[in-house]
Amino acid sequence: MNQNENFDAEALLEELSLASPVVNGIWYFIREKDYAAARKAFVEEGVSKENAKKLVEYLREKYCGPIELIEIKIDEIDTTKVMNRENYDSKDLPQYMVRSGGMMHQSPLAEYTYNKEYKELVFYLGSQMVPIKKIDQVWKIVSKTKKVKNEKK
Amino acid sequence: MKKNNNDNFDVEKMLDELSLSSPVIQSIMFYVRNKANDEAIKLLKEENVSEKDSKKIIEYLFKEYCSPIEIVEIKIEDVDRNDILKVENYDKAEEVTTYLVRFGDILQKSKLCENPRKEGELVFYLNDQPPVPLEKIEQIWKIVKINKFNN
Repeated sequence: MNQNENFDAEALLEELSLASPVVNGIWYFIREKDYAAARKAFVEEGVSKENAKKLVEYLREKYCGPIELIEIKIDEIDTTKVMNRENYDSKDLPQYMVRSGGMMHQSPLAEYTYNKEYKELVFYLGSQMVPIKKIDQVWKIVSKTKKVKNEKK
Repeated sequence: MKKNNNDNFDVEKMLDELSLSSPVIQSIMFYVRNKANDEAIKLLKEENVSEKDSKKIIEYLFKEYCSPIEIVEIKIEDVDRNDILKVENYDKAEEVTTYLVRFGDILQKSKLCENPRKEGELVFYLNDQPPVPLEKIEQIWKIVKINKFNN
């Protein structure tokens, strides 16, 4: 959640409840660096021109700003932040770049439950599920998110 | 599988001669990745490979595919434009440099390719996205293989 006192992008995005194709379309424009088209799409959804500009800036800075990959040891993985059934859609889980043999994939740490008694921590590498202890290397994906600039009136 | 000029060449030759079917190779690689060497030996035994040769093969596969690698962030301008996956060398894909590229929130391993639809354009293929021109990629890392066993 953005703490900017004048403009809360997350709250506005939540209020808008945009349909999936609209969100995907806006994402496409932002990734393609066609910010004018992204702003236009927000305006078409009833957002003011000024707020559309702020929203695009927010999304661009939050998701397209530089990131860093830091190699860490397996035992440095935060095992308290795990993807499970309850938080499946959460974007707040730390993302890792993991390698098992020749396979390298981006994945959050996930919990796999065989039955009620037995749970295991795994990473998903494409269609394979690899137990944490069998991962060869892991990098933490660090997002250097910049806050939306304060624009005090 | 790429060839190199060291002792490992014999194993490459051995693997070539064996002509293992794709599911067998996949299973062996699965065991090697998961450090279940006994299972891999069992599988190779079913393919009439001696235990001694099996160990050689497993050691080779582990060295080639499971040794540490390094990810080095580079500039777009530092991408080797001579190292492009062309349509005609599609089967030699393993000899072409793999990069880790980021495009918006997509972070994926890919190779630099020639856009078959636009002459002279270099692109990366990322998931189900239309080919992404090199210039539109935001960050790029080179995946450097460090084969410590050869040091």
